Amino acid sequence: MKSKVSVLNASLLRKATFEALLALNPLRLTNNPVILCTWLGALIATASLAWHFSVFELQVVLWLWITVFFANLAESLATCLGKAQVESLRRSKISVVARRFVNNREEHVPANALNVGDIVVCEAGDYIPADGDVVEGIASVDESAITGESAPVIRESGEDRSSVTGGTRVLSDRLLIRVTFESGQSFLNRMISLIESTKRHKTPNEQALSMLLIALTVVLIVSVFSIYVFAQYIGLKISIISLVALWICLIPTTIGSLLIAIRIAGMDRLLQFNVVAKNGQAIETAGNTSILLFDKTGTITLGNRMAAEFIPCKPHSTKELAHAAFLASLADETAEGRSIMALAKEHYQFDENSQSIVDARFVAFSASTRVSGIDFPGNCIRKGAVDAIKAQTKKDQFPQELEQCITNVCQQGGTPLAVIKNNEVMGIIYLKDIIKTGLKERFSKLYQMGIKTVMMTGDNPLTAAAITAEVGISDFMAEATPETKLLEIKRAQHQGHLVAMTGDGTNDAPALAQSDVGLVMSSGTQEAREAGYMIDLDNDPSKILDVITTGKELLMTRGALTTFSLANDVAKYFAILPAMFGSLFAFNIDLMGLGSAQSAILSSVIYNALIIVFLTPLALKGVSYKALPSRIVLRNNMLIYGLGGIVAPFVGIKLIDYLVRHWV
Amino acid sequence: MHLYDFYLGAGFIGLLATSSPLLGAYMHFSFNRSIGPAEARLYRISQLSTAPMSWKQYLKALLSIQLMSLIFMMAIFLLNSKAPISLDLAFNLATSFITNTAWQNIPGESHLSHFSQMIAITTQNFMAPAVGTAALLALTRGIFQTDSETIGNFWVDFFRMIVFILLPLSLLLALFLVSQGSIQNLASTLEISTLEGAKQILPMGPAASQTAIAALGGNGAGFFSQNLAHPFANPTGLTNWVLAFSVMLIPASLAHYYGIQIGSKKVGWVLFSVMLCFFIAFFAISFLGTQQLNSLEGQEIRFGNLGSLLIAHAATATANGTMNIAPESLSPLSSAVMMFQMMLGEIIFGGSGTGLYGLLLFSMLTVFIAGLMIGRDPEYLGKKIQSAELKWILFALMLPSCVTLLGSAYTCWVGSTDKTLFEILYNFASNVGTNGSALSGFKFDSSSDNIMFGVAMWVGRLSTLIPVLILAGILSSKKRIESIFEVSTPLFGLLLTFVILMINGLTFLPSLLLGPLNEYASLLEKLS
Repeated sequence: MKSKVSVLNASLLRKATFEALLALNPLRLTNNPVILCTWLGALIATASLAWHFSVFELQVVLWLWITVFFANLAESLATCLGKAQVESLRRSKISVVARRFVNNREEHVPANALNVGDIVVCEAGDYIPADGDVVEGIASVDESAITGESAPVIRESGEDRSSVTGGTRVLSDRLLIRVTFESGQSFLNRMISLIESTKRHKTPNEQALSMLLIALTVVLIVSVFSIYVFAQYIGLKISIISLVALWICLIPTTIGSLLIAIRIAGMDRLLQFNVVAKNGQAIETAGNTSILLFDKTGTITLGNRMAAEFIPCKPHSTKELAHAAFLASLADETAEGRSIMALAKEHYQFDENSQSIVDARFVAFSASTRVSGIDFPGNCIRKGAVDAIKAQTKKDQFPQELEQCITNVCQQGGTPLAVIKNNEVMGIIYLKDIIKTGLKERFSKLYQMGIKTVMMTGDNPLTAAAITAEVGISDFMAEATPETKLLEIKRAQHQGHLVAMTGDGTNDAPALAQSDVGLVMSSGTQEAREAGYMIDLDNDPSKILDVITTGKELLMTRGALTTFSLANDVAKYFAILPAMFGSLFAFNIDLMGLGSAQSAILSSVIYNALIIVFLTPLALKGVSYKALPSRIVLRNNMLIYGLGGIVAPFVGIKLIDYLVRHWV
Repeated sequence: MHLYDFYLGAGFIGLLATSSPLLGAYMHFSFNRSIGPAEARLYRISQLSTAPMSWKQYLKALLSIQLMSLIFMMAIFLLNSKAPISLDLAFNLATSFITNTAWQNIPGESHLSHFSQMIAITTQNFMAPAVGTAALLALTRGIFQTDSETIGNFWVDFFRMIVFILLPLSLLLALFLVSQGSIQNLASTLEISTLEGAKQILPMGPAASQTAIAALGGNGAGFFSQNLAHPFANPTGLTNWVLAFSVMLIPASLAHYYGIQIGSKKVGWVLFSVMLCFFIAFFAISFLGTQQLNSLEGQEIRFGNLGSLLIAHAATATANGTMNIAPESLSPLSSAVMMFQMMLGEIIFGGSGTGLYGLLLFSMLTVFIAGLMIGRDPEYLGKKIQSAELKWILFALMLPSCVTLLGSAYTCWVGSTDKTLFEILYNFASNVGTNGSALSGFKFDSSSDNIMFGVAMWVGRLSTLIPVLILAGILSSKKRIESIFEVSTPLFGLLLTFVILMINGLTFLPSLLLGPLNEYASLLEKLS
């Protein structure tokens, strides 16, 4: 879901213009020294009109003020666009509808309207709208989105198992829940309001860049001042207004005025992907990421595994195995158990109601035993994870021929389950992961960006290796636990990598907090959301790619416009210096062939103001990033913004001069 | 241009490109070897610790030796037997040698005793380049070390530069100069009768040894006030060529040392190539400038057009400042180019150590500006360039420029009009850049000039040296991130060149136009 705000609508533009006019107040320019200097320059030029007035000088002064205005406009436009974006995000129905229970009556409210203490009703199929405690009822809840464990858990009122988490889903029965935490949505609301305040803070890279811009401004003050003294010394008359014009043209006004707009626009672009960043720094850090850690479930695979094939071992037939697996799965509520039954039904038309079994005792699936089964007179059937089943059988009873099959299944990225009947191994069930489509392209893109990808999974190494090979992931962490995840991140960071991680579960929280960029799903637990730096409202872990790209684009835009701005000065020298010093030289040193000295100065000042307007859309949209080797990215950008920055003002000033030379 | 000019030039560059990597490798070996027994005994006797130092300790050691040198030298000059030297002149002279400038505001052979020459000046000829090189070694360590609080030991770096590099090379060069006819004696004067029968008194002294280390170490002081135009110092065309080569040798080799030390020879070659390209381009413009005026005005007839300019350019590109010509009567275009080389901050080969660290600062600035364009925070060889680093980089690169301009502006404001703007600019650029080359230098010998230029030299020297050591400390303690931005490609060399020209062009182009270029244009006008 992409909530776009049209870039130019009239009311927005009006508002931005108004804001920009207000910002002509120098007290509001203190956070932007370059523009403050421009303001000062314009003031000095205006004052100089008092004792030397001409139409030319008036025009220069006007354009200097327009430069300040345009610089403010870029920033206020970005701010206004950002506000509109946040508003639209607030309005959009990204929330879950909660069924609030008031006075024994149900009412439907958006989840973000819930308060702590409210009672909500959830029935089979409903998402739990907020963290809370069960006050009435018992139900099985699918918490796989949060814990990664696909087996549903039982939640009931009482002491131990009463806590439920927002974003999880009720599979059966009905629960009454008292909300104990503010809901995910109100948490997000808080985050969104956070955006407004964090937008004002400069990131470290911006601070450094501002330092460069200030240093250049100061050096140019010294340079222009000394020109004045030198010119006096050799008896050349130079007007104050041309000195001010030279100074304003040379100081980096372009990047100075767009710097803040670039940052705000970057955060807003992220918002368009429905990702909320807690601060601007997080986006830039994302651009620097060199290792990406993510869960298999949710990112690579579509949640749950499905039974794909029954592989019997002699002397049993496929049908016998299927039947045994079918019976053993009757007490398995997990998606995997259901898929086994579905596969058996599909091939052999078994029906759970027509099974003539009497005196049956079910052994329900549990996450600790990882086995389910059924006992009825004369029969004891179990199905479950291979190592769990192996532990139940005697060592030599496990047939050798199956080992090969198990390895095969693992190597195809699947998970084997074993089935035994009366301690005799009947065969295995091949559970297949459903791998999301289009992943290969995404991962090859990450590879081209130079980002190492690491998949974290509880699977065994063979299965993990098979999936990483198929999708094109650089590395995997099999049999991962919260501790090993944390260690892996620390190790990578020690080697000088910046680590990004996606996650949602409480058990991810330590790793998310340790990582440099943590992207948390909004369906994640409270702990996870607090630990992360960014929140994805759409619960799509593969979106980290967009986040990284946005981060890179933000940095690239800043670099490109800085380079462009500095490169512009070459042409401005060629235009203004001959105009100022031309009378000293016996021959014409104006290589650009401009109309006159006055028209050269005025054209340069006009170009300097207009280029801000021309570059504002680029600052808001961002330089687009393509996953290419850094050498080529640098070369391409250098050609466009470096070489372009040298050539553009020659063309621009010359064109403006053609128009301007007629009236100065 | 004659064919032999071409051979001389091509041979010069060829020899530099082939010998500097070898010397660089030898430097890498010398600076990194473990302390031998003799060396260890020396440190023990001097009671100097050889433990690694933090940047503060390193700076303290460095400044202490600078201060001691200042007191020591001023004392010797004040006690000089040959001619009285005032306090301000002693300050100026001492400063000029300690900061590796050699702005000699006094004719050496007639005013300074052999004692002053050999004990005060020659000592500093060795020490000043060793101090600069030590600072470079510290910065290099800052770049290749990770998570370290220290940047090496100043005394060890200082000692090794003198003993393993400067002493053997200067000995060889001095012997060569003597073999070519340069003088080396302790006599005071030699009285001869000329062909016309007139009596002539020729100053004598240890000229060859002085000339050798002045060329190699970058001080560039002349034993004679005519410096390398004097036949006793620079007797033949061959010595002229070899001296020009010696001036460039150590700064050029340090680029290769740096490449080897950080583990990428290519980086060293890129830095070397950038410097060489600047040198060749500037030389070509300057050569053209003299050809256009079609005269040998201001040049040394014995060495011809190319031979004269070779020394002049080698000496202003590096922070050497030795001279075999008279820049004040040279084509203004040529001397303007020489001045611009100094204004760049003495980074085209530059002084020993000081040149390369200036270029490294520019490299980091280039990475900061262009590095963002690959979509990552800027990093130089895996060390992130952030506010803390950039602050000192900018300080070191921009303060000298500002001092040059403001100092010149001040002189214009208060000064009498007997000095041209070009002269003022050139001499300020030379002093702040710690070069020591002079344009009508003796016009600037009032006691206020002595003090002003003395201060300018200290500011020029310390305003880069101190930030470099701070930077070494900051970088050394930093973690290394995975490096993606390549600084070993021709593209980076191009970017570096552009940034150097941009930053300095922005600052100095207007002054160049008002000063020498304006003069040059009117000269051309008169000719046509």
